[in-house]
Amino acid sequence: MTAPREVVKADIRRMLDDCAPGHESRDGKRRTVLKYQGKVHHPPKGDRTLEVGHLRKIITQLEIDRDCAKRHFPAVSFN
Amino acid sequence: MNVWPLVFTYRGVIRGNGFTARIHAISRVLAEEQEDGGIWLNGVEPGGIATGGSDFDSAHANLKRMFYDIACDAADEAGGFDGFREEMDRFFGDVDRPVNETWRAAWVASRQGRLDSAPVAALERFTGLKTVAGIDVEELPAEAPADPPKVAKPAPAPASDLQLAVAA
Repeated sequence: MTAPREVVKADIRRMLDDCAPGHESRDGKRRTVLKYQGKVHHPPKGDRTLEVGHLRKIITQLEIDRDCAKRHFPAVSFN
Repeated sequence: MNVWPLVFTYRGVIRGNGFTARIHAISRVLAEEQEDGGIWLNGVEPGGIATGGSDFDSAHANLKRMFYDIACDAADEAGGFDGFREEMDRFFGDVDRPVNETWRAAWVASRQGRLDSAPVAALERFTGLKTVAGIDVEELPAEAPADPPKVAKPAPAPASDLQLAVAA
């Protein structure tokens, strides 16, 4: 299975609702601020998709359960 | 996939609500070679940054822009200089722990000469204390020029002296 280069933001939101309950997301003037359990990532605003590297960053930086994330993105490696 | 432990330095002047601040930050970033040959720069300390490009130069430029944008957002949202400094300290202290483990393993491999150094041959080498990340935020007199000057969008990339270096 070939890993995707980009992922749809709506799919990331669904993953976060399932795997990071209570997370917060808001748009600043220039970047989005994504918070979970005191950890923060700043992905780009706008666009319908994100580079898959941002998804991997969200998983490591926000310390989200990889098995849970893998259920939503089976084609993406989180190792 | 090749990875390299990098250090980058950001120096810039940011203008917020009623204050102007100079930032000097030394950060740790893990460079990851992508399947398509591109480079992904994955923040370790601070952990909340990540961006990529088709090569080191473009990824580096995108990282500079990202750091600048985050600092500007923090300045815009802060009630004053103390709030801005507090937010930048929090941002910088937020370490990506899993990526930190990979960075440290790559750093050891770099010191032992076990990394493929050809793709990073052009990068300046930093050693010792230079690999310790940290941020200084200093308030400047209000008349100090911001970096870059406030202009109508789109704003140009700041001409700060950001550097990218291999920890050796």
